[in-house]
Amino acid sequence: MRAVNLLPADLRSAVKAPAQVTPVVQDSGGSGAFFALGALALCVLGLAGYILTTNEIKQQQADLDQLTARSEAVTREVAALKPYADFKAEADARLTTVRDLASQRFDWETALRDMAQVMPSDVTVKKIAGSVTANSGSDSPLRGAIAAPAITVDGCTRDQESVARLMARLRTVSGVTRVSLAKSNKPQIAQTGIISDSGVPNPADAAAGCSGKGKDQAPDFQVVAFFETDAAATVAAGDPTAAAPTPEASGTAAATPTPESTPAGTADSGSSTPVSTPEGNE
Amino acid sequence: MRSNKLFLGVLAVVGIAAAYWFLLLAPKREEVTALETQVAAKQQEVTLAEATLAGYRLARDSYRDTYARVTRVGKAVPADDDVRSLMVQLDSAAQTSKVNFRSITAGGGSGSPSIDPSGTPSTGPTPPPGAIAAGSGAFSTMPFALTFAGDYGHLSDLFTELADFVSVKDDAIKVTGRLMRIDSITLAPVPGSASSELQAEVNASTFVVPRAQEVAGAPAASAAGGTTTATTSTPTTTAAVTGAVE
Repeated sequence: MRAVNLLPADLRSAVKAPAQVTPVVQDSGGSGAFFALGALALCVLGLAGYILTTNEIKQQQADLDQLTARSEAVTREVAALKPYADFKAEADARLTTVRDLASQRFDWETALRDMAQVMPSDVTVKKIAGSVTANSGSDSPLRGAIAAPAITVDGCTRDQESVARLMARLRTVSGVTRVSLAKSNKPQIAQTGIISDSGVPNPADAAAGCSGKGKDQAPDFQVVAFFETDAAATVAAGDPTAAAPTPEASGTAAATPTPESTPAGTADSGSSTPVSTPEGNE
Repeated sequence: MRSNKLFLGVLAVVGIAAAYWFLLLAPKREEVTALETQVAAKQQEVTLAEATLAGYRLARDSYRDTYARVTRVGKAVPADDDVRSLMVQLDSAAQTSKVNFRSITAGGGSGSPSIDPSGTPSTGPTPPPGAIAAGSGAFSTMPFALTFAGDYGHLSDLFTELADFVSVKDDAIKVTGRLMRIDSITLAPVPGSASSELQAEVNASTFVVPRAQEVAGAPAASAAGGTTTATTSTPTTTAAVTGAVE
């Protein structure tokens, strides 16, 4: 049995063609769908990213607005309370100033009392002059050498050895870092106006002078006791040349200028003077 | 031909994606980043402001105590020279020490301008007559020359009394009178006297501090115990401040 083609002759070739291109048509339609789906997915992702980002912006903006409002509220309250803070700061500063000024004062009472306690009984004091600054107008040439509190003692005693003893004892006074001798000479005329032993005035001595008690050739001395550990008092008193406080009383020689020495004594007699009598025994 | 179409399609997709990223999403991301920075900065600003506010609230809550402290310290460093109360205090101290308070001369002290611990020059308001501005204007010094007469021990007691007008122990300040710094002392026999009396010439400085600016409307004046008006000008000054402890 022979097969018969029932299609018209002009269509016979066309019929074959679809059979040949069918796979091509099917392939083309499948890629397009994939592309469409891919593009759609990308659009969805893009839109989602855009929306999320926009929402994030809105959230951040809302947070910023909230913080700005809070900041303004806090700033207003801060401005309202600022006078209280200023007043407190001023009060604190004032307290600090008072505390500093009070604590940097030189302890005159202790210094004078200690000096009276160590003063040998054979010493007659004519004048005691103390100052916290070097430029205090003292009549001692050594006083201005060190910008630290110092007490200058003018007086007379039995002999030169007694002057050395006095310097040694002054060196033991709390806070004294250096005892300098300005002079120690035997006067040619009697001194007048004398304070006697341990700073207590003695009318008889005042009338007779150092040599009035039979102490002929009694040396007239002037010594200066420096309190270099209290140099802060000098700084507080406005002396810009004040020496910095030394860490310990015995270590001042290298840090401060040495006053001009005299043959009769050394700047620091505390360790070199052999004679040192117990307090109150002389 | 097919591969060209595919390449063009991929190229178009990539172009659209790039345009989306660079033209649409990237500016938004930059905006987000900028906002995050602003939020962080603002958050820091708010935190700082709140910390400041907390301190200010403490200052407000403690205003009464602070005012009372200032009032007490005002006895030590008044806003004016207030020589009257100083004389009362000196005379009282001299009597307590059994010393004769002979003379007081304003401006006759050391004459050296004081500086504060920081050593900075004065730039503050004009001090009262006779005072020397010092301490960056934080205070002024008022020099005085004082003369006392008495024996050595009593004069020593006097110096203790003067120093104890204001005493510092640890961080506490005890104020019973004017803060006074003795700059120099000269002890010598009283001229023409045959007694054991010594004459002490003292150069001292007191301090003057500008009046603290009170907070308007704050109920502090009454909180200070009503001592403000009686601080300096009457003989009761010393009694009013005795025992005030900071």
